[in-house]
Amino acid sequence: MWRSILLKEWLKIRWFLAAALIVNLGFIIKIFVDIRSILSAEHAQMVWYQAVHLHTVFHHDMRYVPLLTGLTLAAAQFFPEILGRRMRIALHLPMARDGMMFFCLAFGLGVVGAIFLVDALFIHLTMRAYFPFEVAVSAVMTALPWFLAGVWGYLGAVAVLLETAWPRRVFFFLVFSVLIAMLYSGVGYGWLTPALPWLGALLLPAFLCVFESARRFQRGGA
Amino acid sequence: MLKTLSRLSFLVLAILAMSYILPLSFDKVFGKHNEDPLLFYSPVLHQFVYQESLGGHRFNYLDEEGRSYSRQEFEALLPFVYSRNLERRDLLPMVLEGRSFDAQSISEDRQGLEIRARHVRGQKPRIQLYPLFNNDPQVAMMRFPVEVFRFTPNAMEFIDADHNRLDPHLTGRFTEALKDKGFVFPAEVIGGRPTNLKPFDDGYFIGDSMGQVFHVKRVLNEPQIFRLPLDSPLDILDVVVTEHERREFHGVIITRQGEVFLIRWGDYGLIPLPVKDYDPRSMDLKLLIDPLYRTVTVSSRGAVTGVAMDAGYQVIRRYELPRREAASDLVRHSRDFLFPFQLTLESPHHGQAHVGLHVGGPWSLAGILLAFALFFLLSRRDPPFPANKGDLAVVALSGLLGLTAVAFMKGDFFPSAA
Repeated sequence: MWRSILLKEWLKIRWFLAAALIVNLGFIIKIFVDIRSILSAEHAQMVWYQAVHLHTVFHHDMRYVPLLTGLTLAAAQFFPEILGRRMRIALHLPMARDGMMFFCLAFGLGVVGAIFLVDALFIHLTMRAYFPFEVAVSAVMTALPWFLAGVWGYLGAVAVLLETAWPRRVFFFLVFSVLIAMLYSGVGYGWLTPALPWLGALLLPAFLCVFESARRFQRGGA
Repeated sequence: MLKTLSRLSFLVLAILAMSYILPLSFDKVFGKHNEDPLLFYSPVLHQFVYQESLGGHRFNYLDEEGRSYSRQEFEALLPFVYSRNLERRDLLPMVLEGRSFDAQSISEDRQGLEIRARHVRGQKPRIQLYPLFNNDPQVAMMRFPVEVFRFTPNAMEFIDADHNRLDPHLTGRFTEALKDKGFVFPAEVIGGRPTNLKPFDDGYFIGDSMGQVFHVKRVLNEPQIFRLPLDSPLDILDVVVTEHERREFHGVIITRQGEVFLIRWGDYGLIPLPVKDYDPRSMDLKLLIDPLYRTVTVSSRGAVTGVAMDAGYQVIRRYELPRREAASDLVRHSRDFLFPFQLTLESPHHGQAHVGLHVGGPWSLAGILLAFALFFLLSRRDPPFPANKGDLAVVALSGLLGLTAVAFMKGDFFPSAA
């Protein structure tokens, strides 16, 4: 049964996953090419000065890509389920609703997390190729809130899609929008780093609140 | 169990999101901006005078006794601050305390320095890589060095930017020179100005793990290191280097205990600034030097305090100016009424995110009582808004914010779209 559900989830997202991977890797390559071109046009020490003391974030173009990835994969995974309330069929399979929901979310988060891990690795390697270790670490730390926004975007989109009452759906959308906007606060490198433990801790309630939406979806909105 | 947890999770997220965005929006609409008053010591009146913002580019110009001045009168009380304006009004040269001052002599002997809490070490993100400029008397231009340095637990490492790799020669030279001078690795504090937009380079002041301070410069690619003659080790929070043409002092040492010392030019002696109860992590400090006096002002949450000193840094006058609340009582009470607490990411004392939860004043209790009343009123409507202990606790803790979140999570409050 679990393998069948896994296959169903995979079939729903595979093309979207491929597209997300292409977009993510495309941006990584763009960042690599941009930095290489800046370094060939300017003295390396001046580029380092910009990165370290002027707080120029060279992978800034990447910042909304993880959010877009999370939203796309959530939509790919759950939008087909709410069309004609197809998910009700899955929810009547001989398995616990919460267990199945957990499995679907874990699958989606696993895929999203794997893409972000690849992003983080390539950002680090790109920066490490041209900058000292400290700058490469800082670049990844600066990108962490963006990845967190991608995960929150995924969970928020699932909660909004599964919600059945429009006023509540709008409220969910606003709440997640504010929380995600917080992750784009500040300028320069590492601005949000001191707040990351707090913002990361909110992932657990964000994950848990999806189950309430799923429960209401199964009950038809009650 | 999961149902309760899931519901509670959304309530928590909703309340946090509202407690972040709503007070922020409220402040944007009703304005809560509070500009620091500008406090100066007047060499004409021999007392403090200040400029206070009333908002909308309107200002009050007052002295310690509350006497009000026009803008032009205020400028005339501060000839060292507004010398250019006074020169255009043919009020210079001016004779003060038996000395005559024209615009040029004033500008040559004037210096300002500001140390904001948000720029102090630990209050903002800082990658610890610095360029060490090479001082070469034959070269007029200050060229940016190819190498940057960093401190490791046992070395001062130089990294070549062209090849992104360690420069073993410079690393060895500077590490050995530091050890020869008694430097105990690792470095705790590094103070310097990593820019070539300055009149000259004065290198870095580096605090070691024993509380000693070393002045490190690079002259003709060789290390030039001097250990400061401190009476006792200092618990240094930060060092700010000035590189000012007056060359009266190299910079400022700030300790974790809020002491402030100027590093005298020449003999590296420390000149203590007579500031009281200064917390460098939450207060801004300004030092204003003119041909006759030195004035240090410290802006805290409740007041701006000023200390005027003579040229020998002996105190001649102190003054404390309490801050005025920028927002009206109505605005402040309404804010407390609506939002019993506020979640913030930004702080005026930090150059990076700083998570804060600010609890409202007594008016918040009134807001919570109203939320309670509404809660019970709604519980009697049809369809009912069933009251349970958990929701009651949420409303008790978060007032109208909690009530809004609870209302949206009530099963029957909104009909299903299905």
